[in-house]
Amino acid sequence: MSDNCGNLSVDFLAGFTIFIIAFIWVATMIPGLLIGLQAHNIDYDAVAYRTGVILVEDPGAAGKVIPGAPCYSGSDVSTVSGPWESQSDKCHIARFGLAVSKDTPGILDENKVNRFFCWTVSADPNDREKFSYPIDYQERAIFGDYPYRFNISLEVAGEERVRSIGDVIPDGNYGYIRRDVQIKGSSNATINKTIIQTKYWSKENVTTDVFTIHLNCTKLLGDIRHSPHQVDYRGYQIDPGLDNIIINITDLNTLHYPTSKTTTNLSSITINPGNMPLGAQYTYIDGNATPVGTLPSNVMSNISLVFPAGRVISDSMEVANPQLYITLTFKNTNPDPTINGTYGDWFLNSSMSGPFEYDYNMANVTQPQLQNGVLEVAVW
Amino acid sequence: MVNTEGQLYTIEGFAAALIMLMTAYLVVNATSIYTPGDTHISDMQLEVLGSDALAMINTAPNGTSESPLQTIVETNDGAMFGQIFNNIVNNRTNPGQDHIQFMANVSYVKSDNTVSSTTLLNKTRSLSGGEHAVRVSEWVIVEKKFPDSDSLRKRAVLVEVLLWRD
Repeated sequence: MSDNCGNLSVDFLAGFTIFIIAFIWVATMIPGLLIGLQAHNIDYDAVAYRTGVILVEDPGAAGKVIPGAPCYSGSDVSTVSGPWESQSDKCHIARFGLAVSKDTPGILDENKVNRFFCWTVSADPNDREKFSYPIDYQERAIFGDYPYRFNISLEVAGEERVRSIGDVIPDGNYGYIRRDVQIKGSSNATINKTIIQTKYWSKENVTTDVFTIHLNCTKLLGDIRHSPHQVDYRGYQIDPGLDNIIINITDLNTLHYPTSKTTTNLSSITINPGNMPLGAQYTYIDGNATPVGTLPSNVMSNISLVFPAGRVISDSMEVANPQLYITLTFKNTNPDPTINGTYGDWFLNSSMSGPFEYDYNMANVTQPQLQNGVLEVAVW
Repeated sequence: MVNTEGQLYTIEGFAAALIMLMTAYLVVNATSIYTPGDTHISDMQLEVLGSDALAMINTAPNGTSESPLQTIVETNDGAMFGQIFNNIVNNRTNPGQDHIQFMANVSYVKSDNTVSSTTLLNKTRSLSGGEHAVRVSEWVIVEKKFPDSDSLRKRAVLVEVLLWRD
């Protein structure tokens, strides 16, 4: 007599074997599938795109980086004010962003660009201003939990060098984005012999001459529809609190009359209201590359006043005192007394004519210009 | 003696194997959309570049002059557009140029209130049909009279650029 108990187990064995073989084959595929799910690997392009948007379309923000982030001793995070690029302590910078404002995507501020590309590889705990690669940039521009490496480069038309931050871009897999941008430059005024003799030449023999420059912040910030085309655009705005202010006074040695002096004495530079002395570290005399340091000082022909953004005139100052006057006082105390029997001479003086207006008048002030550039972000 | 009791186990084995293989196939297909190098990423990069370049050309270098794009449309200077756009869109920080090709046209409203389009720049290289081209556009205010539009006055026109890589 026979039964079919044995047949059952053989068929079961065949089915179970097929199942196990398929199971093992699929199981061996799983590690390969998960490689593609590693977030930091597949989103290089997304991170590069996001970083590009943050840099090109956002003005950035000041403030403490993250709770518990290491700050240098003495850093007071409760008193952060002003834009991020004017923070002397990098601990007070929350987010990088190079745009002039949120309304001007693609228009970068030259001061933000200069500060952003001021970096070093080694972290110096005593250096509060320079950024360290990669940690300071990862926290403020790249973001994310994964410690991405990156390279950010900017080429500006007319500049020979390419500005760059980061490692050499690898040959292999990395995310990439390129943005075409424009960089807003600074305004500047050159007060030369022609301008001075037309309006600011005191035709009286005096021993103390005062020359004043007026920054009407209300008008500068409020009335930017100054052009014949009624352009209302922050890309062309002069903002004394956010932009460099550069004033060059030239040909001073040709102004002395009736004496034939070749030098004069720059006694002081003050900013009003408040009669606050302006640091001589912003004053360059007769083409010297280093600031004069202390006043009074003798001047032959040229004075350059270079006020870095946010250092002399701040946002809060613009609000509290929108009418700012920068006053230069000259002493001409040693003229030749034999000439006409006088002890003074004609020189640069705005007492009678009113102050020199630093405004949107192109005859007085060279307006901010936009330079083309290209910014590239690579992330891996 | 022959019976069919054992066959059931074999069929179940095959069914389980097929289910596992189908699941694996579905998973592979589902994750492949995240694969870097997919065309949508390069499309996005092209679109960003084209938009940036058009916005740049439509921005005057200072507050007193017209934007280059305004001047180009008003004078119908396609060669100038090609030169400026090419310099911007193919510029890189590293040595060497990119290889983005493009063509451009301008759309405007005619005197009978219908929209017409005119070519600003013919394609810089022939399209073979396999390219992943993207279109970007920018509104420009120009003072111009088109041949079939009404009188000379300020009007908004749409500049459209089609871009693709070699």
